[in-house]
Amino acid sequence: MDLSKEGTPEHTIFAEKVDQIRTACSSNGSKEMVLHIGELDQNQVNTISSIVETQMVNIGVSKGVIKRIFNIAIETLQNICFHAERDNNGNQMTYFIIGRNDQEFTIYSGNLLPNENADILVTRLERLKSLDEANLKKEYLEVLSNGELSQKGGAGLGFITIAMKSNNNIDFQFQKLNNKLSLFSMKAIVTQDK
Amino acid sequence: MIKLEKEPTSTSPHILLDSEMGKFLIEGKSFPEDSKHFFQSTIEWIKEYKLENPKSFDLSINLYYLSSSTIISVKQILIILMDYQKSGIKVTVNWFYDEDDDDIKKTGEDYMKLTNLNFVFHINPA
Repeated sequence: MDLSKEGTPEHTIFAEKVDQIRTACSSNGSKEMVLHIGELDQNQVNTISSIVETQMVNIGVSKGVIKRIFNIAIETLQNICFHAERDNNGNQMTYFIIGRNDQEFTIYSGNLLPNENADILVTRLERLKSLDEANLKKEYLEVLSNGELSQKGGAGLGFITIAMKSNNNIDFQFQKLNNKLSLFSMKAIVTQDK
Repeated sequence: MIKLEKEPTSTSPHILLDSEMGKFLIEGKSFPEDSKHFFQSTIEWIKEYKLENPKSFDLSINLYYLSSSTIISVKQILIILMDYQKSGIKVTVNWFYDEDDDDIKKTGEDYMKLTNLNFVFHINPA
């Protein structure tokens, strides 16, 4: 079954999610700055991250904010590259969108994950979300002192980094697509003056 | 020991480990696809160099951007330097950062606390 084919229930959920984000990115004075939908490999990670950086420099965003957004972009994109599941036809269903308004930048991302991974990730992310700045830093130092790189390249610091760089302004959602796969969506907000 | 040099790319830093010149540095941006693999040769080189019993080892780290997996790889390098120190080799880590880049400065301070190595902090010229 080709989930990325239009008309399947899975594709409809995915497409609706992307539409919803794109609408949010183009209303109330917001603008869509970066949009990528579909396959994502390391070359695309490099291209997208470089576009993100150039765009931010061009519109005069401060260096500190650019680095925060760049950090979140890299961690998000590499997470997708390492961990995203493909559909039965080997297609990747992913999105990566950055919207901005006068006050903030919002980095949206989504990818497929096996349903059985949802619970673990929800518990982990809910816990991260509940931490204040000091405890987030404590968590970071703990993983830093004990962390080893896994075969897939992760060390457990990715989500912590995303949380730290957005001042813990993160949110996420799992939408069950079928009995195997869910769409994992995440958003992180970086405010302009930070 | 034969020097190790890796030219910088858009996603990985310049690395130079040259015992003849006494120059050891890691500088640039670092978010390689596979950080473990990328830093493997650097880690091996530094481990091997210890067998030559150098009197001192000064490593300069000037990273503008570190991905989270790079942060773990750099920690692994510093752990080897803790071994150097235990063996009586004088270790200095020169940590460079831009004046307005608090995050990179803090990353260095975290490493210093974690490893108890001798860190010297330097602000990059503007």
